[in-house]
Amino acid sequence: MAWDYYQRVRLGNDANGLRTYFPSFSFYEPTGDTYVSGYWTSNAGNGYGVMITIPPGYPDECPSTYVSYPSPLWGYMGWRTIESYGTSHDMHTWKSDRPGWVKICTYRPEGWSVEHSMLKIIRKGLLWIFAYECHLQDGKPIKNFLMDA
Amino acid sequence: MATDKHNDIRAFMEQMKASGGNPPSGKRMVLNPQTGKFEVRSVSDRPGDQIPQMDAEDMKAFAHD
Repeated sequence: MAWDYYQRVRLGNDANGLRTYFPSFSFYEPTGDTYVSGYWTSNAGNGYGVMITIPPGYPDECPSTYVSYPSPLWGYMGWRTIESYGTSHDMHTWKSDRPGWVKICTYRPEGWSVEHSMLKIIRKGLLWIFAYECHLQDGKPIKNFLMDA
Repeated sequence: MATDKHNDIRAFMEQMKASGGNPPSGKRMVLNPQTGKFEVRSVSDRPGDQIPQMDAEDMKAFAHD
């Protein structure tokens, strides 16, 4: 799939933003199935992989965001995986279409707008991870730490 | 005084959630691009020129059962 001129300009701006604000994140496969991938070390010192797939309709279409590492991502006390929650308001997740990875909810598709940048998606992804680490402390659902619509 | 301790950030997020999206009085939360860590700062701290402040919209996600 080839990106059109408008999309290439947008992706270029996004890539520039990553270099400034998230140097551990980069674009991959820029001419085909483009995605953003990166690694974040949380405030608690734990490492996470984050992957964001860019849909063909980007930026008019909402990207999908995954936690790709650790895989599986275990919940409180290792009782169940976060992926096993599927689409869950309590955990702010979607049913994953990539086995082993957690698909996190950054935006509902109908709430997506071209005004939202890749930087915003990554920030929201890192906040989800932070909330996940709060869940690990005492088992409270991730929704307790994030805002509802 | 800025702090990047997990429990300080957690307390900030819980208070912001409880207040419907308003940050605790006199505090704000940022993601420091130099350290890659979330921080809670006093609103009187010098913000720096490239520090994005977290807001309620950042903390929103919208999945439904």
